[in-house]
Formats: sequence, C-alpha cells, structure tokens
Amino acid sequence: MSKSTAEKQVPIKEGMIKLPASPKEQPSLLGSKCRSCGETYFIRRSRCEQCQSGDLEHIELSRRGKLYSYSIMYYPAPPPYKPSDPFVPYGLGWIELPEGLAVLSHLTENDPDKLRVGMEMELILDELEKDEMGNKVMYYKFRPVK
Amino acid sequence: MEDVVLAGVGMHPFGRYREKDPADIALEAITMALKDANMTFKDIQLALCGTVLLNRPQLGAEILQGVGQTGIPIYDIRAACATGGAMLRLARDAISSGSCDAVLVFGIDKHQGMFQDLGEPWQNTLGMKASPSAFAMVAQRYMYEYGATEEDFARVAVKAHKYGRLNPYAMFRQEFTIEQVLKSPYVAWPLHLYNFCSPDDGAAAVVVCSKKIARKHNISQPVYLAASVMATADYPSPILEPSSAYSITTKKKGRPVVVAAGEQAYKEAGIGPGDIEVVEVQDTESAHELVHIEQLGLCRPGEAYHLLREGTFDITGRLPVNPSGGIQCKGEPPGASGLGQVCEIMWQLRGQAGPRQVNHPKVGLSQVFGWNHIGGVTILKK
Repeated sequence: MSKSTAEKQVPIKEGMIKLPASPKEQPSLLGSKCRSCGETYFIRRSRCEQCQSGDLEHIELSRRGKLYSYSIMYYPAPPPYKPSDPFVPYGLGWIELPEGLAVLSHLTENDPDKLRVGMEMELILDELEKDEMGNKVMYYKFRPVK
Repeated sequence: MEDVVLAGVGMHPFGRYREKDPADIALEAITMALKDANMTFKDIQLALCGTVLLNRPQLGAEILQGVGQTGIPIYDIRAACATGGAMLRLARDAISSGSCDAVLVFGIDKHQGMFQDLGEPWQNTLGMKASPSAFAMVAQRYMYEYGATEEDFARVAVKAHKYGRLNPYAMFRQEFTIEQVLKSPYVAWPLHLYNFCSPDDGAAAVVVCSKKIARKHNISQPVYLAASVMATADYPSPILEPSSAYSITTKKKGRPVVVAAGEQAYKEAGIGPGDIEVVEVQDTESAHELVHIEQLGLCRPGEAYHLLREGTFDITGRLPVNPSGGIQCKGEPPGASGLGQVCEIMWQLRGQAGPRQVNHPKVGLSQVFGWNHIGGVTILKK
C-alpha cells in the first residue's frame, strides 16, 4: 500500500465496502437485508431477488467469517485483470458469514497448505490501482486470523 | 415418452482447425447426420443451431445455405456448455407437440482462448471469475468432504485418455500416467493442466424425428429419446456451483441443478439410475466427472472415486463412464460438446463404437452442465 494518506480512497464498486474514515476505524462489507423475507445480500441493492420486495434495509456484514472452500489461481485471469509482473498466484475462496450468506473473495494467502476449511478469516482492504483522478481504487480480501 | 426417435448423428472431429471456416466444420457433421438418418435436408422441417463462442448473426441460417435453402425456420440457441441438451429438449417438444416431424439439431464452435472470464466487470477486473477457479473450489470441497486426493482426480484423467486414445473424434489421443498428470502444472489448485478440458473447434449434429418418419425412412436401429430435461438454478443455490455469483444464501442447503435435472429425467423415462448402462457426463475437469456421477444418483455421494479405483467406470466395468474420453480428451467446443456426448451414446447403443465399445448397452445417459446453474440430462433407449 502507498504511504500517502492524502489521496482519496474509492471502492471498486459502489455499495460494496465501507471505507474507514480514520485509521482507527475498521472497514466492513456492505449489504442489504430484505424486511419482507429476511434474505441477506452482499453489496447493497434495492430489490430482493427472492421475493421481489423493494423494502430492504442497509446492513454492514460481519468482519469475520469461516472459510468454506478455496483455490489458488496459478495462471492469470484474462483482461481486464492486470496480472503483476512476474505473476504471483492468488487465492480465492468462499467465506461464510454469520448473517446467513457466503461471499466470494480474494484471499491474502496463496499457499494451500496454510488454508483449511472452517478456519476463521477476517476482512481487510487492499488497493488495486489508481484511477484516472488519482484516487486509490480499493477492494476487499480475507486473511486467516492469527 | 418414447414417441421421439434419434434417427442419425454426425460429428466433425473436435480439435484445432485454425484455417477452416465454422460453416465447413458444421456441414461435415450435418451431412454425416442426414446420411445416417437416411434423409436429405428436404426432409427437415425445423433446424436449431447451437453456438456459444461464435458471434455471427444468424449463423444457423448461414450454415444451412450449404445444404440447400428450403424455407424452414432456423433458430440459433445459446446455453453455455449445456447448449446441446437445450436444443434436444426444444426438438423433442416440437415433435411431441405435433408441430413438426423432423428436426435437425447441430452445434458448432471455435475456441477463442484458454479461459472464460464470466463475472460482472468488477469481478473480472479482480480476476475472480476465471472459470477454472470456480471448478477448482468444488474439487477442493470434494476432497475435504470425502477424502479424495489429487491422485484420484489424476486417475480420472488417466481413464479418460485410456479411452480417448481410441476415439477418432478426440483431440488428445495419447495416454498419461498418474505421475504425468500430477507433474503437469497447476492451473487452479488442486487441479492440474491435464485435469482440464481444452477449448477447441468442432461440430456435432443429430436428426430427431417422429416414429412415423423413422419408419418411412427405414431407420434400422431406432434409438428413442426417453427423457430430455433442462433445469436452471433453484433457490437456494449451492454455494459452489460454478456461476457468476458472489453472494449466496447459506440459510438453507441448495440442491445442485444436475440433481434436479437427473431426478426429473429418470421420472420422465420411467426408470431409475440403476437402469443406466453407459454414461457421458460433463467433465469440464476431472473432479466434476466424479461430482456429476454422484449428482446423477449413479452412486452415493463420496463413493465415485472409490468406484473409479475399482474399475467400475472402465468400458469393461459395471457402469462405463465417458467411453469417448469425455471433453478432457475431445476438447470442448461448447456449442457442440453436448451433442458430441449424444453421438457417443448413440454409437454405443447401436454397437458402432469400435475399440471403445461397451458391452451391449440398451439405455444410456448424457449430462451437461453450464455456467450459471444450467443442467441438462438426456436419456436414450434402444
């Protein structure tokens, strides 16, 4: 991550992550919960996919969850993904959150021997790149809890 | 449901044909299928063209100009890797509803690169939906739940190539050892390069008709479409089924789409999984060959890799699986691969599979699975 804190941070997608307003604050994933059927979603939305209700409340999802499954990508995905040079294999996994949903995420870990199903994972943010305005484009990852 | 007959099949070998136009590839399969059905294009009343990767408008109409213009309706159909199953279902409905008597169904594709990136733009920017990782996470969970190993997945690839070597329609026709598979580079851990199907070029065609037309054209070995089912995601969807999803409910456990399609197909055919004598399943990679065998109820969950070790799925075993070598050997032109399975089952039921022939099967099953929870099951009966 860059040393500078003056640059503005923006999420890779609106309604996805709560960026910490100060270094003391923790980031979180944003979601919605349907007031009609109780379904919860990662990333805010205005309509419930299941019951079609438009009555949803904004929620923040738990910062911790459990690893459900994982894989390590040994080849870079095609564009628009921009692999590092040299390419470093990266971990992906599904994280089960207490709100009754699972979220697909990048993992900080790319060694399968250091990952196991059911392990406690916690949310962090990382910078993807600078956009054309010089803002830091932020996305989410999960890392094993030490 | 046995009023629909598969009258003829044809295939253009799957492989890499950089210089060959898709229309020419498709026409070879179509010509072969029409000849196999003792028909000409003038006998066909409806045509369905399946393609996933080719972006040519009205591709089906363009291709069929090569067999003569007869004024029939032609539709292009797209259902990811399940395209073949989708077209057969539509053909069956057209015939059993009485709207027509003979349908030509064909699929054609040319590969456009190694990986498909299949998420929303932000997911693709982050490299989160390259197709191999979605399949690999299912493989990882299968290992965790049932104790299978990378060696078991390698054994699937070894079996595939043992029979793919004997298939003139397959792209890869060499045998591998378990060690060779395990030494091939990881694509998406825990799966290696030799565990995966490769995108390639090819075409397959099937002529489907009513019993009346089959009699008229003296089909000597009629094979009946006993069931043809397509299904999409139910709620809740399983966490791991390969799709563009990034948020899935875990409040209830989801039923995989292939389970749903399989159960409905057995019901439609009036048989059970125990009656199936030869199977072609969607083996996008080695792990899913095992997963799909189990989802079809052909054995208990977690049992497939044990049965594989015992030789049950060999062509000489109790339940031969993918005697064609599957798409691990044939490669996958997704518009054509589902019908490629149907060609193999037809040849097996008619005793025309040459050195990879299994022992006198009377009932066969073909299963496809496509990205975003699309599952198809076709049951053929002699």
